[in-house]
Amino acid sequence: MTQIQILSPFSGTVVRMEDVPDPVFAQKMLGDGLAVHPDEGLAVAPISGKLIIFHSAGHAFAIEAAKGRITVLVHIGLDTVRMKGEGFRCLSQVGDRVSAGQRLVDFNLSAITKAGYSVVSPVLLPEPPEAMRLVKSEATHVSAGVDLLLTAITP
Amino acid sequence: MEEQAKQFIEALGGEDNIEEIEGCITRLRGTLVDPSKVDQKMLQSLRIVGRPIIMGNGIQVVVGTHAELIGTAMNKIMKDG
Repeated sequence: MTQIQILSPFSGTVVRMEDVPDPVFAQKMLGDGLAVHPDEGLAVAPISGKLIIFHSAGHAFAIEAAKGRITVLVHIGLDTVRMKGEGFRCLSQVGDRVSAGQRLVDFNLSAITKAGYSVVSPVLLPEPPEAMRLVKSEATHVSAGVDLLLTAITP
Repeated sequence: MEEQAKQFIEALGGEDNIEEIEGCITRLRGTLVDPSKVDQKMLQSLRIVGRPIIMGNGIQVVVGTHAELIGTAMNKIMKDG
């Protein structure tokens, strides 16, 4: 049995996936997890592993865990792809090996709000391995790179 | 990827039906001229997740984590004619 601890990439208030105001995330079409309403514009790596996706707009990335065959996807805000990178500063790139807690994106929270988008940021596991169990944090507020958000347990 | 991009263009009603398309991290999102021209059967055969979300002329199709690559390939094909 492998237990992978997934740290919160953001500091902020925890939001249930079902309550994310975007049907694709809320209906867990991509996978299950939790979302965070960040209170500062910083995203860190939730796990150690390889950065396999970093969208060119800087608003989303995915890390493949070094072990345990899981991938964690982090999406900063909703519909923020439309901002085309404005207000997002990436500090890493695809292919990089990153450590849990490492700073990956600086973003401008008020720019997202001003552009009319939600800052609610889903953190989820797309295509989880069969029989994986996901334990969700019951905390209401989490700190980036410090607090556990999710635990993935694979047989 | 190019082959897949071509199939998505066809499934969305062809190049002339696509006003704009972009790949987000897991979904293609765009604006269509006529959403009724979408070939739902063909879309399903391209292994999309769930059903496409259509609001007005806007469409979102969940394709998985390679969405940005497909979106970029689609735009390249449409630009090059």
